Amino acid sequence: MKTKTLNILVILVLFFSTNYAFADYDRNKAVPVEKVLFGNVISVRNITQEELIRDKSNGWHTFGGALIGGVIGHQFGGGSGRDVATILGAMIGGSIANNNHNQPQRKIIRLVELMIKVESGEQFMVIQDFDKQMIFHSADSIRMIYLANSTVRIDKQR
Amino acid sequence: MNKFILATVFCLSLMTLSGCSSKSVVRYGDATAVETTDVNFGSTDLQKVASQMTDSLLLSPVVGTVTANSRPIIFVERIKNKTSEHIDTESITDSLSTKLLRSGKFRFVDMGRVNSVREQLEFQQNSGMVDTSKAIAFGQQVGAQYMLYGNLSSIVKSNEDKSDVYYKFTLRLMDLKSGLVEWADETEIRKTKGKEFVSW
Repeated sequence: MKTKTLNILVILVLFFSTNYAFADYDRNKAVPVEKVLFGNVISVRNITQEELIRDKSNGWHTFGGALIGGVIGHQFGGGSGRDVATILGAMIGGSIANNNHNQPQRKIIRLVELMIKVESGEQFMVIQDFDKQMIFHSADSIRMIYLANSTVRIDKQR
Repeated sequence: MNKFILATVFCLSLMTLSGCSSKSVVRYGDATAVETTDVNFGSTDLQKVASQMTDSLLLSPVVGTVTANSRPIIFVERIKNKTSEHIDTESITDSLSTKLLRSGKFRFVDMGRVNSVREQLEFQQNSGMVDTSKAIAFGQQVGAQYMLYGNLSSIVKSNEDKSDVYYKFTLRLMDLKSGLVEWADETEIRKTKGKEFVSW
């Protein structure tokens, strides 16, 4: 059986303690880039406030476990035999720090979970901040930007 | 006397304050003026890239041979943006294709409008609202002979005092029949932003 690799990159993006935490991506800024992959969105799922709070209350392991489970299920269920890398373009490092003194249940933190297929055929699951300036849909052409500060960002292609 | 002085001072203060108040003003500017708002990709860069690439392509001896007796048909593939910036690369290809069309040496097919064309032809053929003897039939379009494609990449370096952004735009022309790249060129742009000490 072909050996499959599951890469898990956990990327922490700071969230600030506001009632509505939206993304603050500055997509028009020239910053160092390691590489850019091109592909399409296979599926989009908006992660709601309730889901996130449940994940927080159950702890990191539950959140990560559910994510990995989903990726493995996709990998075997699809039968493509291709590697799937999960990129948690996530949030929780800053969020935990802020939540020590706040009521987490009052927060609305919106994330978007994107299943991406790049031109080479590899699939990636990316979770990043919801950005009302850039709403993703299935079949959208995207760029997967590996920034030099060890973060990944998904942009629509123009 | 004192009242007169006080009134004068008050009026002068009012005039000064009203002169300092900010208000938004709209003006027309020169669209080709050099824009140096920041180091990010801007209108001047787009114009420079489009202009230099068009000139290079039109002056190329190979292209001169190709266009000597005919007007080759080109389609422009999307420019691959490998920078961190959300740049409208379609705007670059629009400028390129417009300049090349205006040269009179090339013709273009627009792949971005294929669905609209298909809808219109289906309307002409099937809606019953168009005289079928004059309706445009499917299968009469001309295919492209050449493909124009390229990449835009950047290298960014910065420290506390200085930012340096280097852009490289590469463009290539491929013969779709033979697969040969008949022409290629690249344009480089370097932009720096640093602190300046102003003296009086």
